[in-house]
Amino acid sequence: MTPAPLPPTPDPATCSAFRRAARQSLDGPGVAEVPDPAHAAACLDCRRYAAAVRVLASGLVELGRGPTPVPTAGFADRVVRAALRERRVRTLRRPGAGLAMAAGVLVAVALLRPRGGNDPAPVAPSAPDFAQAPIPITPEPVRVEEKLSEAGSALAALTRRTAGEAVGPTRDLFASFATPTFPTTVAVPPDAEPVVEALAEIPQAAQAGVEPVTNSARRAVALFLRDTGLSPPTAH
Amino acid sequence: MPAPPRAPVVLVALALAFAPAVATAGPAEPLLRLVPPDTTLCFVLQDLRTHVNNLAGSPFADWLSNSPVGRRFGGGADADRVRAAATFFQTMLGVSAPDLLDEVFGDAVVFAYQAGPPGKPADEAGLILIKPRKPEVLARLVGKLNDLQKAGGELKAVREGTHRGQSYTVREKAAGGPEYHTTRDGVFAFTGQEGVIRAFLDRNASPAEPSPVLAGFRRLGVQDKAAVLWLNPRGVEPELRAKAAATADPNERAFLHQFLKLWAATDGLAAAVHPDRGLEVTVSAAVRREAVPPELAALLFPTPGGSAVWPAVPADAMLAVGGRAAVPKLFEAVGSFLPGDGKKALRAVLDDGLGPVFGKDKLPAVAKGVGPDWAAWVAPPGPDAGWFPRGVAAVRLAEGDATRAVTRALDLGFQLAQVAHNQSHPDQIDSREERQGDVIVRSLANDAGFPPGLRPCYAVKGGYLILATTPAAVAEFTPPAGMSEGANPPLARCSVRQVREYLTRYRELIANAATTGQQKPPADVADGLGKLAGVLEAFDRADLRYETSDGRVALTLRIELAKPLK
Repeated sequence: MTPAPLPPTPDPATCSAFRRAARQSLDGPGVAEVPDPAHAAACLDCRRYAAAVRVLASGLVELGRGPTPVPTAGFADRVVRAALRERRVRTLRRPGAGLAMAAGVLVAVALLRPRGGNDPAPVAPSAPDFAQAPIPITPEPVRVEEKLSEAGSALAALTRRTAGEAVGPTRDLFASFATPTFPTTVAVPPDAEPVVEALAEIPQAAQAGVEPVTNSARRAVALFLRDTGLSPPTAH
Repeated sequence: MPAPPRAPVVLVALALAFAPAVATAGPAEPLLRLVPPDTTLCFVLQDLRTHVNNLAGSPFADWLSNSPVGRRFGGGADADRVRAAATFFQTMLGVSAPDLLDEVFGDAVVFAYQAGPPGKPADEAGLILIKPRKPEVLARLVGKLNDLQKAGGELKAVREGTHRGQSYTVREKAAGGPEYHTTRDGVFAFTGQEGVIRAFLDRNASPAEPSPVLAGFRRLGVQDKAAVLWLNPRGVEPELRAKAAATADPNERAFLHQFLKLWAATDGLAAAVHPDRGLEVTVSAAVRREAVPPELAALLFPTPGGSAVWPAVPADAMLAVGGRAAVPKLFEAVGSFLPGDGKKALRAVLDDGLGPVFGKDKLPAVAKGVGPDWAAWVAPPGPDAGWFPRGVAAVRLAEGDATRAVTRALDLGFQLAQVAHNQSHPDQIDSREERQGDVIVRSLANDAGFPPGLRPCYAVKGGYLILATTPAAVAEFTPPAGMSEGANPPLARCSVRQVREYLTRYRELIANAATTGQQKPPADVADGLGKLAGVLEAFDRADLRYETSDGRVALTLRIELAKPLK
């Protein structure tokens, strides 16, 4: 009895092209290459790779539909550190495993986002089928000035909070103390009133005197923040 | 054998003896030479690399990170947002915060602001100068930033501009005006105004000597400080003159006119912060003494030496202040800010107000006989003396008419206070007199109404009038023999450690006394005192000094922290 002929060994060049096309499908419609369904049927490794891409694509779509997930404090920091650690240790030798990890993270984020009463249960990813049109994914553009502005306001809030915690107790403390009252035994003669009034107005007049300096300082700070992008740009 | 030449050696020795001290240059000096000469405000950060690295590795940073204050600062949503932003920029721009500090910002950063002309504040201009250690790192960073912002739609285009054969970069933004930058001779310049970048290129090509801004920094002695904010008084003078001319209030107008005379005599102002083992904060002014109104010159440029009372201040004082203030000169200075013949009017008010108290014929002797040396301090209470701190105010008092007039006035004041209190309170004040050797101490006692440890009193001891919170403080006072040669005592001194120990030890008693008759529960005040003590834990002591030299007046606060900064 003649054994059934073995399936032809996939061409590495074809695998490489398939996987490149699969990754590009995440960029949305209109890409130059389309994954070959015939190759997916013939190559087990590439079929697994396509499944991971499909899971990733599903997760991105879920993220786009639902409310924006709010990661826990320090999430970005932990992810970057973990990614750098992974790169150093070189445990991810197969691109498919890396994509699967990314897909798993995104699915985990999608599953862990705050749920309302009407949120549907998560959908299990189906078998890959690249006969369908690629799922359009529009990545959010990076807004550097927004990030700078956020960083500036976070730093300002942090400084204000710390200063408030330092100054607040002192301010509240002095307000708590009973103010002693002393009897006024010396009346101000009428002809002395203008001088007393002038003396009483000295602090206010001094404030008027330094106002040009404080105005200049305020304008200088505002211009610096605008020029460095730490505050949103305003029309002049 | 011929004798060795001695003349050259002698000449060198003489030259070294009389050579002026070489001012320390800071890394920002090359940038200050390129700052517009009509700069109004200039902010400088220099040698950040050294200071931040010293601070990061210091015992203070170690202590702070483990302290409650440090933990509160490092935790919370705001701190996370800052860290997230830093991580974002590190990921996107490929450069970490330590690298930015080391290679880009660590040497010097300068921000120069030019105010707009009077009536046109929107015509202001700003210039940022950076001296990176590795210009190629900054260039790469700018390139990545351009790429990111173009991809994100924030930047429309990056093109080149030229000025007299020199090129600069123009960033056309989607929102807001364009930005301009260039690098010349290792200095990166950035601005939002095209005229400013062109002027920078001109100045770089032929720098003016001397640079007025750099000269201003050197005159104030702040050219090597870590952080400096420098102000050119001429930049805000037009606004000040307009304000003085426009005001309808005669009191404000009189004040501003005198203030303008002082302002016109000031050539530069600076506030500087510099870390060493502790922290030094200085506010200084370059003042032409000959242009200062004479009644103000006496206060601004006092006789050197400080208050002679400082040796009497106890070592455990929590807070102490002291100085030299001649009362007649003080009146002249205050009177010069009043409208009309303010000095005469003030004298008339004092004659009418204080004359009956001291005796109108004794008033000139009192004015001349009180001061100029004075000091006041607050120290922890003695053992078994209750919680109220020991407070003392001491002022030099001339013998004769001045002493007699002042002690009679104080007697009268004490009696009036006693009568006024006893009329309206069930607890009664009793006046007492006790002898401490040759010194008579008069006090007011009220065991039921006064906090334990408080017995207001006064005495004249060793040529000093002493007002104190307890006769025990008068007994402890030792009249000083005088200041030692070359002594330079401070204007104020605070032992924060003593304050914290006092608040911690007596906070319950203070809280109970403070809230007597009020709605606020004592526990809240005690809690507030505890939090204040927690904040004060970072500090050890501080002193404030006033110094004058060569047309420069400076007020310097030196803070010693619980642990050193390096």
